[in-house]
Amino acid sequence: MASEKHFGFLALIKDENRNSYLGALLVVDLMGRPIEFRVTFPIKPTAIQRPLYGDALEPYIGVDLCGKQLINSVDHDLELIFVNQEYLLDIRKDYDIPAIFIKHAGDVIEVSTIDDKKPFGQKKQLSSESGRFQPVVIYSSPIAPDDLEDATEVVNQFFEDTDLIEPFDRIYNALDILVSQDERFQ
Amino acid sequence: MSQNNDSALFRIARRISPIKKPNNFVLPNLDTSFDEPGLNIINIPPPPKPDLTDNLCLMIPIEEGINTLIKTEGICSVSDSIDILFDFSNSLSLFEVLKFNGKTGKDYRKENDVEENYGLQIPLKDFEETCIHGFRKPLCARCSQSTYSDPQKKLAINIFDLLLPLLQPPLGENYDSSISLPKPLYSFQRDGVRFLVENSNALLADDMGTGKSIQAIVALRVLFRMGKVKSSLIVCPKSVLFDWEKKFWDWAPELQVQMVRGHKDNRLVIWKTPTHIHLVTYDTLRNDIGEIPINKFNVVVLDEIQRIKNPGTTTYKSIQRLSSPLRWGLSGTPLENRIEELIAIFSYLRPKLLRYEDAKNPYFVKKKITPYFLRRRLKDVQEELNLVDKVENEIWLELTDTQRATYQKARNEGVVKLNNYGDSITIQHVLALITHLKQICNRDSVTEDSCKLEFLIDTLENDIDEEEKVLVFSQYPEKTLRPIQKELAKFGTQLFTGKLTDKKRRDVLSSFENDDNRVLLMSLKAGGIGLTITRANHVFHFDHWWNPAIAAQAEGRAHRIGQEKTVFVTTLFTRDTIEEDIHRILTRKRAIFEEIVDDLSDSRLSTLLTEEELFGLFGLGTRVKTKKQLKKLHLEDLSPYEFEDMVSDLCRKIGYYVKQTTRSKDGGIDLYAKRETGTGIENVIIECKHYPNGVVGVDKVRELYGVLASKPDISRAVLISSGQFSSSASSFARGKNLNLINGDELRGILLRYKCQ
Repeated sequence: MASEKHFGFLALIKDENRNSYLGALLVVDLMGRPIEFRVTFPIKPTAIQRPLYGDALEPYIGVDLCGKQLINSVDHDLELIFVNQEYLLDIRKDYDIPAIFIKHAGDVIEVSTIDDKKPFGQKKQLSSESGRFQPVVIYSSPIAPDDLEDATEVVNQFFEDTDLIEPFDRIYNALDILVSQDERFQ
Repeated sequence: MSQNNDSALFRIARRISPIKKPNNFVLPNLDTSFDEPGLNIINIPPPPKPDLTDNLCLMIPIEEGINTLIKTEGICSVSDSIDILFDFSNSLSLFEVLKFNGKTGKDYRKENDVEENYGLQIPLKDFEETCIHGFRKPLCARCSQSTYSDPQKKLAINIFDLLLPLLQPPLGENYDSSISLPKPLYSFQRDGVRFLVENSNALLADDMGTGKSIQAIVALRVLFRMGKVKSSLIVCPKSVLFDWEKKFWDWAPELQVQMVRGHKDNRLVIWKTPTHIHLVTYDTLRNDIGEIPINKFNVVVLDEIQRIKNPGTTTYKSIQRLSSPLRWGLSGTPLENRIEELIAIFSYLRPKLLRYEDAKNPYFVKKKITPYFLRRRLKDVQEELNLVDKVENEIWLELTDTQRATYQKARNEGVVKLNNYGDSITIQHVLALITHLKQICNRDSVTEDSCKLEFLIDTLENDIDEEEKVLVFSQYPEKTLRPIQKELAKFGTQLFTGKLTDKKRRDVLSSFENDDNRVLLMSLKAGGIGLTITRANHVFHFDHWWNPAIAAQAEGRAHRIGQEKTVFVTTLFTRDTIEEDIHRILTRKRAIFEEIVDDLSDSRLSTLLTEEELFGLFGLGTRVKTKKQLKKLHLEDLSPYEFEDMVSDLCRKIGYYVKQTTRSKDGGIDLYAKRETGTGIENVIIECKHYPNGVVGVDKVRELYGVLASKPDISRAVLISSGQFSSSASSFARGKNLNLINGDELRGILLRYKCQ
């Protein structure tokens, strides 16, 4: 049954005020309805850890610390994982689940993180057939370029009724509440 | 290296200490790894299955039910505790047991359950200790409150419950298409929801009974679902606090609601408790405003926003301190008296939109507020609502003889007393006398006579079906309602006043709705707004408030969505009393009210129920009222023509354009006067009768009335005398567009307008 397909939206969010990171995974069904939502407690790299990890800091936190643990914890099998940072595509190394980095078409992509050193596998622009949502560009991991084709069909199906970027907004809103109202997330 | 160089090096070496071998700075324990973060999980349950009726055959002992529950993760442990609240001898059905599950989520029954079960965690050893008050510690009310009351624990909410609405997918383009509602919204309600969602500053001023609170709740739900709102504050009158909570449960069950009430310590915790909706009364907010995070709320909704119509009140000032990007007001009567009230309301809803000076120009006010103002009249949507008719009826009763005697005595003594106040007289003195007289009209407390009660009992016995229920409103819960409750006891009569506790209020309403009680006596202030009592279809106003809008609000309790029967509204008046005098003013006021609220075209609202009207009820002027001063006006010294000229001057000072007729053959008219009002041109004919020591008989009044009848363009006629009018003259003029002004009243008016 189509409604049994579940999609993960994996996000790493940096709290600039507190220099901390929160990982979150929202699992939705084909209608975009939330099925599971898991959040990590904040990770606060120390002043020493920060320079030592350098550019590898966020990928390490996003993939190794948060991403893996979040994906391991969900109760539902995931058909596809959308990520909000390109480095989170590295999660693909550990799971046989297609992973897709997604952005609105036309959004500026950070050149420093999407460069020749770490090229994307493939990219593709998709438009919502209903015309209700802004077109998106999806990227696959360089180690699994076929993910793009595998995912296109299901992404197109999903894109008919759901803004593919929007679930990330829900995650941001939810984390905003957590951080502002629960001391454990500050 | 040369010899010279070597010696140079030697010299230098003697002056500079050898460089020390540096110590290695070792960080053997530098930890570059991260702790694994803990995980928080929200398992989003699928939509719940529909509730089933209780299977009465399935009975399990309470112990077993509790044991099942305590094994469930998240349920408090009861080991080492004693359950002092459950009676283990009884068995409850599984359904009942499950009601105790308060793990997460929202249930408007929760509060009672929590209150009833609160205190489960009392260690057994505490029962062995004696407190300083000499009781076993858990059994002492004062100690147990301080020891076992843990408001944090009581109010604990799973933070993830707050996130659930934010995680829902966004709505479709039609606001009611993707949200599951208990029943479809009417089209005008959908428009109202859209209006609120699209306006950060909005006054929804639909007539009472059209579902303003539901529109606001659905609009909030939409905004929460869109992620635009994360925290909201609803401020409402106390009487509707629980009604709001129930409506939230019905119309937005995914939103967490916290009612801010109880002891102040508890309230402060509640204010800090994360929740979608904080629900508070105006009074509580006023008390807590100094302690609460005033910038916390994304939306502030003021129900019955006319509560902030007076900028001088602490309620107004408290509300003004609340900062919020979205501000909505709800009111069926946003404009009760003066246009300044509307300006005060908008000073919060949309600051700087209007200034108080703008009250002079109602067209300007109306134009400015139009984008933020939505009002639909009940009559306009009645067809869509399938709303039943409302039949209004006025019943004019004669006081009983003893009531009349008591009334007359009180009035005479009251007027003498007012006159004796001299310059120190105030409006309050007049209002006190009015209140006293109105109470006598309701019921003579000495003889216990009441023509109104007699009528009510007779109607209940003979004219109203036994199946039908009745609301009786009065302003005087203690002086009127409580005494007549005994007399009406046989009909199953309950009393709803502002003094009742929240629980008692719910009990009274529930009992009235569900039991055989037929009559609900309601204080106009406590029960006049917000409540839905569609079980009743007869409304009696035992007395009338100054403001017709408040009476209409009260009628709205029964005449609203959900009412299936025709609603009969009966207002009881007594003839030849202060009630009749007030009624005359109110009739005029109601007409203007209806016009102004729906078409802000009148700038003369401030003239309604002025001092002039109040003092005029007793033939008194407003500013100069002593007998001595009144006697300075020697009307008897004037000739008839001078008297006519004086009246002409007076009319001009009042604001009329005046045209005097010829001295003879005037056709029964001495003066034509006209002035512009918000409702058009008022044309008046005035006839002067200078009978300083005489009495104008009914024949003169009849003559003037005949003249009036022949001139359809004339609004009303005024007969002014320097003397008095006969009782038959007064009687003839009553109820007609014919005003009689006697010498005393004229003196008061002359002094007020400083005519010498």
